[in-house]
Amino acid sequence: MAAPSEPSDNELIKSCLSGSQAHARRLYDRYKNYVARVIRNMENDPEAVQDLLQQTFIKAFSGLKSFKGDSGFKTWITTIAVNTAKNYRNKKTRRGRHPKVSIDHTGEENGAALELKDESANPQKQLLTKEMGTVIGAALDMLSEEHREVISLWNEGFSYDEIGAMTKTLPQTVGSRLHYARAQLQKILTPYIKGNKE
Amino acid sequence: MTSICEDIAYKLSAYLDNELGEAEKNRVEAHLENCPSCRGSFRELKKSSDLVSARLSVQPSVDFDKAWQHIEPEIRRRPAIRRYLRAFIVKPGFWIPASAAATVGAAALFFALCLPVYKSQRPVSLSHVESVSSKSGSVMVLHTAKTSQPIIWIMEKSPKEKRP
Repeated sequence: MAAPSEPSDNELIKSCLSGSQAHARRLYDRYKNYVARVIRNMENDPEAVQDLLQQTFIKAFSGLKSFKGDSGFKTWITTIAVNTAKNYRNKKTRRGRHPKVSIDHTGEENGAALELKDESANPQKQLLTKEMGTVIGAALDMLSEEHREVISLWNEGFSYDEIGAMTKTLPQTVGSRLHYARAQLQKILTPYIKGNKE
Repeated sequence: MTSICEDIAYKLSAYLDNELGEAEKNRVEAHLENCPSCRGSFRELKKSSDLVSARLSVQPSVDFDKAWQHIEPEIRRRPAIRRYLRAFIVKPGFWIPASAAATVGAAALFFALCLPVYKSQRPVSLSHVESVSSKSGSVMVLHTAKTSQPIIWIMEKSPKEKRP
């Protein structure tokens, strides 16, 4: 017997709009991991990630009526998640609570958030030791908000055009920001990559 | 590093992301084939980029059920209010009394707002005096807007004035 096909995002959204809590939960389950990753890549504090995830979904479900479906639910919720994380970071910076992360610090605080599950499934992850993960996390924290944003969105598979639409910039600007973000990360990481080789 | 190498170095990131047009892509590939220095730069860029990707792809540990416990009451509350309003508004007996109440309300509001304006624009009634004279004297009556009672003066003529 054929398994019942999964409802599309648009079907779930329609159902959510007529008050289905079960379908709201289904939509949440479909995107929770993805949204958590996008937020974590913008904001490293694990406690803040949970709070920002809640805020993102509450905003998304409350504003579901305004979703036109032109760009897809994934793009729409990504924009909400990124803006929510950006607002949080701006508030934190204004209050002077933004922690200065040292690249030399490779303690467990940042490393604890790094769970390398099912390493065999992803060859990329085999490259990443826990210590290297901490170093990269600290290097990402040193990037400007704009650079962090583009590198995070690019990593989720969005094209330059899509990132440009989400961040209200030109695709060329996205390319340029990615170039400088990578150059900065490479500058920080090269000694560690070479150190690992030796 | 030549100026061509500098130009290519700027394009390596977009080349890595497969975001270059066909002509640019061919140009970069042709240069990489002939330039060991740029080839090395590209290898390093790819390696660090792969590491960053691996770090960005790691799933953060979030208590999703706990998060949902905060999300659900929020989204349940808002549609519930909307549903209640919708159900109330579409009742058949709603519109006639609602329209009547709205009309009465609008009329009351109209009078409340317009009456003071009307009063202030009414013409001011001026005081006026009427008088009657006779051989023995005269009577003056003053009517004012403020008082409903007229004021009456009775003035007798002096004996000198009474003389013909």
